Amino acid sequence: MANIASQRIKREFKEVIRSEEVARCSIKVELLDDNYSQLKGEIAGPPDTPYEGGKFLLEIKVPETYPFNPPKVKFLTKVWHPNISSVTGAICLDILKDQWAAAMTLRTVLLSLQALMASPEPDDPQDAVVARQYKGFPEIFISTAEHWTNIYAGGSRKKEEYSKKIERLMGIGCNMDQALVALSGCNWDLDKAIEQIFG
Amino acid sequence: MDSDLACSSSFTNVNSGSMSKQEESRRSCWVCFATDDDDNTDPCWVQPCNCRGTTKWVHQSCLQRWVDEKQKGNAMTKVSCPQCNTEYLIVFPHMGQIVMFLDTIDTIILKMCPFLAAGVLAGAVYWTAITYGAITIMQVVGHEEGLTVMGQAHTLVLIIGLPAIPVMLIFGKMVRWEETALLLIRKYTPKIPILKYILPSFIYQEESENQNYYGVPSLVDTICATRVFCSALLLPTIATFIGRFLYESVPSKVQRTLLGGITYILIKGILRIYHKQQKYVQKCHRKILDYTPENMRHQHPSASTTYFLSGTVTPPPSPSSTLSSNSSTSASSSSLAADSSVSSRIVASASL
Repeated sequence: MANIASQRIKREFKEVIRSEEVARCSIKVELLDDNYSQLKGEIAGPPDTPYEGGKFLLEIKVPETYPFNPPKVKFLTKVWHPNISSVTGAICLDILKDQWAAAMTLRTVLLSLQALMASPEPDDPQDAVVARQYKGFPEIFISTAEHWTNIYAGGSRKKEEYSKKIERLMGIGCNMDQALVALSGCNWDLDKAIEQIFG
Repeated sequence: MDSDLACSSSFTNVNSGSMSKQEESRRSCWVCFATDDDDNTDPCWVQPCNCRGTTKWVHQSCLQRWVDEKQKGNAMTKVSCPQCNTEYLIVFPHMGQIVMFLDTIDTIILKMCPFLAAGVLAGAVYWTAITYGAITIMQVVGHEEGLTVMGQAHTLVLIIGLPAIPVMLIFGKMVRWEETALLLIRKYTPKIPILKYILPSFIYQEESENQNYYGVPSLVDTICATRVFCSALLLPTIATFIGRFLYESVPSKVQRTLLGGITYILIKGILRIYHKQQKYVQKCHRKILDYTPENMRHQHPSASTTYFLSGTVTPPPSPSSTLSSNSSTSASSSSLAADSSVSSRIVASASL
């Protein structure tokens, strides 16, 4: 890796470790290899959102041309959010694309992602299904996002009704992820979800 | 995005709040994050924008690299600070008179070339038009006479008049008099008894309006540009030939060509009106068949029947096929003839 990139990540790493957000357990960064090109991030679900109480893991890849090009970030933890793909974890955020500036750091990127979780942008979606639900059925969106946070990120809020429906689908031969994605996408309509999986 | 704005502003607040005066005096580059203490060598620092705090200072070389990244190869693109949006003041050193002169020349040439190319193209078209005009004049009035006429004319007349010849021909070609004539014939044929007798197939329009309420096919077909161009430019040549063959007795060559041209346009117009009307009748008459095995088997014979009915005298392809299709032909033709009195009249016109 180019000297400038690893030098900078080294310095940024120190900055994150020292930052008050780490002290509050709001963000966390871990090194995965010695040359600072692969990192693992972790952000806490922002308070007063469906993601509250969850821990969300992120994969951070630092390119050779860093900081002139943005780091490649995606969610490893599954999230139900209009700007994050519920399947791949890919993120739609302008600062990770053309609005990147060299003055941004790992810390600001993680804080921006936290802010994105708190205020979704359904008009510029990454996951069209989620965005449609967010706009059309806000209550269902909130309870679905809470349920996902409960299952994948360790949140405390969940709906018994949803759990039962997932069990029903698992009873007829689906795996959990498949059942959850289908039910969430169909606004928890069991018949539609069955049709989507088996039809 | 709102979230980013909120985030980055909170970030700067946090920094400026926590930063002591001592830290502020220590410079740190917002690209490589190196500080004064880190640097072994003596790098060049700049403060290129309105930013304060951590993003105030940057290394000259780091910023150069960032500018390169933003410009993506085009060295004249303007670059602004991603935080405060101040446009960077990028200056180039003075390289002496010669470089400046060459730069100016370069810019001028770059700007001139499109106009120059357009001018050359227009000039080429203009000279082709002049040549065409001159050739046409010599063709119409004769080689020697043509040269004499053009020699006597004023230069200005030649410069404007000669290229006007092909232009006028093309514009003349775009006047679609046949369509107007066809509409007039259609309008007056049912009212004038003699015309009714001569041109029975032109009565069709009114009857068809009574028959189907879904509207008749439109008359207007699209203008084909290349066709208009070719036929307009070939008109003088064709007129000269027809004039030479049909009007040998006429002494003046100009009159001969004019007569030839008028004859050609008239004959072509009449044929065209006839063809158009027949196509129109044919289109009014088309039918979509049920997809039954019987219809599939008889598709070809019945097709030939409709052609026969619409008046195009096409001989049947071979005696054997006519024989085999004869029974079905008579059946379908009788049914067609029964439901439209027009088709029988068309057969009559064809036999006339």
